Amino acid sequence: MVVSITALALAIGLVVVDVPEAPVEGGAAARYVPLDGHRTLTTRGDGVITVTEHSRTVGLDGVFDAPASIVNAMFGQWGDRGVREAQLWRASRTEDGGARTVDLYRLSELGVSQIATWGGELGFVFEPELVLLSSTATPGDSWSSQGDALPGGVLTYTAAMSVVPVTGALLDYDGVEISQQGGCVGVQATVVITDPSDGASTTLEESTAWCAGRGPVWSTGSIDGESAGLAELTIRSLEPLGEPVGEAASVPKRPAALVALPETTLQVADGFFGDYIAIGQYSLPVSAAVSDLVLVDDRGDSLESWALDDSGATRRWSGRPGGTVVSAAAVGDLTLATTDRRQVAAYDALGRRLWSTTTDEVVVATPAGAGADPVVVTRAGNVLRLDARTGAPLWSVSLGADGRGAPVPVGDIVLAADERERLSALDADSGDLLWRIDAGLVDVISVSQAESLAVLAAESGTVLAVSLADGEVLWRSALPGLARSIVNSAGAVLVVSNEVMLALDSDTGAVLWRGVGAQAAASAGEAVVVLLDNEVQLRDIATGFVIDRAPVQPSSPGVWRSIAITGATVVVVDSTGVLRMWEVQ
Amino acid sequence: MSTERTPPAIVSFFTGIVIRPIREGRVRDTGWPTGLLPIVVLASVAFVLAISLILGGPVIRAGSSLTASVGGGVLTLPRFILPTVLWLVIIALALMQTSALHVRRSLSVILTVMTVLVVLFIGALDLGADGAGGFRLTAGKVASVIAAIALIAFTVVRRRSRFAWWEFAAVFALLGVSVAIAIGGSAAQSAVFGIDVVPTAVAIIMTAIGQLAVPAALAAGVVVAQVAVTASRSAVAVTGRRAGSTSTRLPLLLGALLIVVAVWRVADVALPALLEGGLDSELLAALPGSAALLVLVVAPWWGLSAMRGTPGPDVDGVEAGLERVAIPVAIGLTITIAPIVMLLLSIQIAASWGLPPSIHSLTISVAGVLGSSTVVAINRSIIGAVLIVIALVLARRGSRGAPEILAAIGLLALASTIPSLVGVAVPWSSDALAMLIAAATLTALVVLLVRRRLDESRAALLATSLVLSAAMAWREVIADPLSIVIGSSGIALVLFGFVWGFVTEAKPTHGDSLEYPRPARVLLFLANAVFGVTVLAFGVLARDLDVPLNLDSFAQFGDQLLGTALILGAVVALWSALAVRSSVDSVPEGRSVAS
Repeated sequence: MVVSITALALAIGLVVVDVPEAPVEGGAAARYVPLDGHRTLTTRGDGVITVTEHSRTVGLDGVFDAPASIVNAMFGQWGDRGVREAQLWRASRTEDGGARTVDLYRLSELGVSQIATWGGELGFVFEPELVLLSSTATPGDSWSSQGDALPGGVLTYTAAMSVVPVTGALLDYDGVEISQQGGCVGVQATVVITDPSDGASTTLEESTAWCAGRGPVWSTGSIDGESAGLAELTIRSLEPLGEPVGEAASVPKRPAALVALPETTLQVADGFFGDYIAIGQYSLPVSAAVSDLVLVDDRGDSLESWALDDSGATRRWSGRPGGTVVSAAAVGDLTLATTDRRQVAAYDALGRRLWSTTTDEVVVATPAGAGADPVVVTRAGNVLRLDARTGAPLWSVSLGADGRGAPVPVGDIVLAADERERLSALDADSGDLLWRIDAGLVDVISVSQAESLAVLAAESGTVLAVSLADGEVLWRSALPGLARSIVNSAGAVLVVSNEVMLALDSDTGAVLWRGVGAQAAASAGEAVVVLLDNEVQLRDIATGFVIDRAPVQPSSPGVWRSIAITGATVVVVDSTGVLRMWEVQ
Repeated sequence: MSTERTPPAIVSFFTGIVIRPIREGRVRDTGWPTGLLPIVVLASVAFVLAISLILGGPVIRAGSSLTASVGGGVLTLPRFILPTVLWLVIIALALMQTSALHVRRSLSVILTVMTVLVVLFIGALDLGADGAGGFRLTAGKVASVIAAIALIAFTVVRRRSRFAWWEFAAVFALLGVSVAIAIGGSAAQSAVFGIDVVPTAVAIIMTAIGQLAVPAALAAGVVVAQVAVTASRSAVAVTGRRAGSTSTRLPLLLGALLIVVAVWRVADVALPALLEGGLDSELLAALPGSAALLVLVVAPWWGLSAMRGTPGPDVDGVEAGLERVAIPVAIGLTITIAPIVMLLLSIQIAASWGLPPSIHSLTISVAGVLGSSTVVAINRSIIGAVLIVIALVLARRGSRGAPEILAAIGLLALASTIPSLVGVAVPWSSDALAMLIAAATLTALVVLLVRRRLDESRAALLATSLVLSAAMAWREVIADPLSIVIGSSGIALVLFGFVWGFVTEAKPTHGDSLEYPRPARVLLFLANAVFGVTVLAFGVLARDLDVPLNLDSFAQFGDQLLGTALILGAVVALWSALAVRSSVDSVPEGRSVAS
C-alpha cells in the first residue's frame, strides 16, 4: 500500500510540477491576438495585397532580430527580467512589391500594446508602449497616452483611443463580407506623431475591427486627411512573386584552388535603423539554393533566406510558419519549412508564405523536389508529392513503415528509405512502387542519374550501390564509423564517415583511396570539398590528391558546423552564425 | 486402457515454445520476503505501461501536440507524456538502488555511484532563474546533493540488514522528491521566460543514461535465436509425441517430416539459384568465411570434450549454457559503456558546479575515442579472447554447455572484429551458414539412407538440424509481424527481446545466495527490464530509432554474436549426437525409417 501510494504521489507530483508555459497575459484583449503561425491576407484600397505572418513568443526570442536601438529601448523600459518575461506578438508584413515591415506588440496587464516597427522605410519605438487594445476590451473603454515614438524623443506621439462595438457587416473593397466568427470589437484611434525638431506632425485617424484570433481584419480612416484602410481577404493560395535567386557562377569541371573570401557574419539590412549584425544561433545543416542559404534559427521559430556575395551574407527575408521549424529546403522557386505542428509551409522569393499543408506526421527529413513540386516523407512513412502552387498532395503513398531520411528524387523516380530496412523506388508521377529492396537502415543516399546508380550507406556499416533501373545491388563495401556524406562524381564514390573517408570505384566498388574521417563532403565538379575538424580540403575524387586546402578553426563545444556549395562558393556555417566562404576556381 | 488424449499438435507446439519457457522462466514467488510482491507488481505495471507507450507511440503522437528541439539534431516528442517517462526512469533507478543495498560490496558501490551521479546530474539541470549558465546554487542542486548524501548513508546503514519493503519506498521517495524539485523548479522558473525546459531535460537525461540499456538490448537480440531453437526442437518433438513412442506411425511421421523439411531446405537453397542462373554473388562470397566459422565452432567442441573427458552437451545443455552467460557476456562486450556514462555524468555535474568548459571538450574527445569503432572492436576482440580462455578453464573443471557456448561466442567475436581491425574483409553471413548446415545435414541424411541406418532418433536429429538451418537464415522473421504493426523492424526486434526476456529470463531470480539474496536479484532484474523498455519507449515516442541511442544496432549485434553462437552450438550438439550414435551403432537401434 505504501509503495503504491508513494508511486502514485510521485506520478501526480511530476505532473503538477511540469509547467510547459506561463499563463497568457493581456486579459480579455489576448483573445483578439492571432495565434502563433497564423497568416492573414489583407488588401488596401490600391489593391496591394499584404501577407502577414503572426508569431507569439516570450522574452528574448521575440527581439533577437530587431535593430539594437529597439532592443536597448525595451531593456530600458522593462529591465532585463521584464524583457525576458515579455509576452510578444509579432506581425511580419510583406507586400506584393516586396516591401517588408515588422510590428512588435506586447501582451501585458495593459492589454495589447505596440512596441516597435522596423524593417521598412519608417520605424518607431514607442516609449511607453502604445496601447492599442485595453485589457478588458470592452466597448466603452477609453484611454490616452503620450511619449516617444523614437528613442531620445526624436519623434514623439500622443494617442487617444476607445473601444466600440462592431455593428453591421465588415466589407472588403470588393464588397465581400468579412467573417466575424468568434466576435469582433472596434477601436477608434487618433494618433499624432510629431517631430519636435521642426514641429511637423502626422495624424492618423482610424477605426479598426479586431476579430477573435485574427487581429485587426478591417480598418478605415485617414493619414493627414488622405484615406487609408485595409480589409482581410480570404484567398487560400497565392501565386509566387519575386525573381528566384539569379544564376551564380558554377564550379569549374576541374577545380584547381580554393580562394578564401573574407570571414563574415550575417548582416541584416534596415532602411530606417541601418544595417546590423544578426544576433542568433542557427540549427544545422544549412540548405543551399543557387546563390543563397536557407537557415533556421536554433529556436526553430524563424526560417531565413540569406543572399551571398563576395562581401558576405545579407538577409533577404525571414518567415515564421508557427511552431518549431524542424527542416527547411529550397525546392524550385519555393523555400519550404516543415514544423512540429505537422505542417509544410512554402514561401516565395519575397518571403511570402504562399501555402501551408498539414501532414499525418512531422516531416523531419529535408524536403526534396521532383521537378518543381516538393516531395516529403513523414515520420509515419507517407511519401507525398505536393503541388508547388497549392500544397495539395498530388499523390501520397505509404511505405508501410516509418520513414527514414529524406526522399531522393532522381529522373522520374523517387527513392525513399524506411525503418523496416527497405529502400523503395516510386514513380515520380504516380507514386506507384517500381521496386523495393532490403537495404538495411539507410543513413545517406547519393544518386547519379548519368550512371543510373544510387549509392547508400546503411547504419550497419555497409555501402551499397544499387541500380536505379531495377534495384539490383551491384556491389557492397564496408564503412567504419557513422556515415555522414556520399559524393558520387567522375566514376568515383566518396563515402565520408566520422572515422574514415573511403573512395570507391562506382562500377566495381573497389577501394580507390582512404583518408581520415571528416564532418561532411560536397561535390565540386570532378573534385570534392571535404570539411574536416581543422581544415577544408579540395580533393581529386578519383585519386584523393589534395588539390588545395584552407585552415579553419576547430569548432568549440556545442557549436555545430555545416558545409554547402552554392554556385562556385563553398560556405562553411557555424551554428553561431559565423560564415567562412571560399570560391572554387 | 488409458483415457488420456494427446493434445492437438498446435497446442503441444505452442506449449513447447511459449507456455513452458514462461512457466519456467517468469518472475515468481519462490519464497519472497514480505513486501516484495507489491514492488514486483508496481514494476510490472511500469513495464506494461512502457510497453503500452511503445505499442501506442504513433497513436499517442497523433493525438497530442508535439514539442520539438532543434540544434544539432531534431527531436519531436508528445509533450504531455514526458512526466510519465520520467516516472518510469525513477522507478527503474529506485529498483536498482534498492537492490544495491543488499548485493555484494563491489556491485553495491558501482550501482550506488551510478544512482548518485544520475541524481546529481538531474539536479544540475536546474540552472537557475533564466538558465543563463555559470554557477548558481539552485533548489534542484541542493535537493540533489541532500538526496545523494542520504542515499549513500542509507546504503551504508542498510547494507548488512535483511531486505525490508520500506527500503524501496524510502529510496523511491528520496529520488522522486529530488527529481521533482529539480525539474519542477527549473520548469516553473523558465516558463515565464517562454522556455519549456522539461522536453530538453528529459531528452538530456535519457541521452546521458540511455546507454545503460545497451547490455539489456544486446541480450534481447539473442531472443529470436532462442525462440527459433526452441521452436525447431518443439516441432520435431511434437511429431514424436503425436505418433507415440510405441506407435507404428512414428517412423512414418518422422520420415514424412524429414522429407518435408529436406525438400523445403533444398528448395530454399536451390530454387533461387535455379531461377537466377546461379547462387547469389553475396552468398557465394560469404561461403568461405562462413565455412571457416563453422569449422572454428565445431573444432573446439571436440577439443573441449577431449579436455574434459566427457562428450559435449546436448541442445538443452547449449541453451542452459547460453542462459548462464548471456548477461555477463553482454556486459563484457559493452564494458566501456558504464565508465563513459559515469565520466560524462561527472563532467556535466562538475560543469554545472563551476568547472571550466575546456574540461568538457576534453571529456567529449575522450568519450569519442572510447566510442570509436576501432576501440570498440579492440574491446570486443579482447573480450572474445577472454571468453575462450574462460571456456578452457571451465572445461578443465568439467563444466558442460557454458564452455562450448563461450568458446563459440568468443570465436565469433574475434571473427567479427579482427578482420576489420587488420583491414581484411572476411565476409560471412547467416544465409551462408544456413546453407552449409543444410548441405552438411542433407549429406548425412543421404549417407544414412544409403547405409540404411536412418532410424527414428537419427531422423529426429536430422530434422531438427534442418529446421535449425532454416532458423539460422530466417530467425528475424519471428519479429516481422511486430515490425509491420510498429513500422520499424529495429524496434520490433528489441521489443520482442525485452518482452520475451521479461517473461522467460527470470530464472536467476529464483535462486538465492549470501552475496546476491533473492530480493536483490528480483529488484535488479526488474530494474533492468523497466529501464530497457523505458529507453525504447522514449525512442518510439520520439519516433526516431536513434533516440536516445539506437538499441536496435546492439540487439542486432547480440543476435549476430550470441544468437548465431546458440544456433551453431545447437547444430553441433545435434551433429555430435548423430556422430556418437553412428560410431557406437553397428545396427540401427530403432525402427528403420528408410525401410
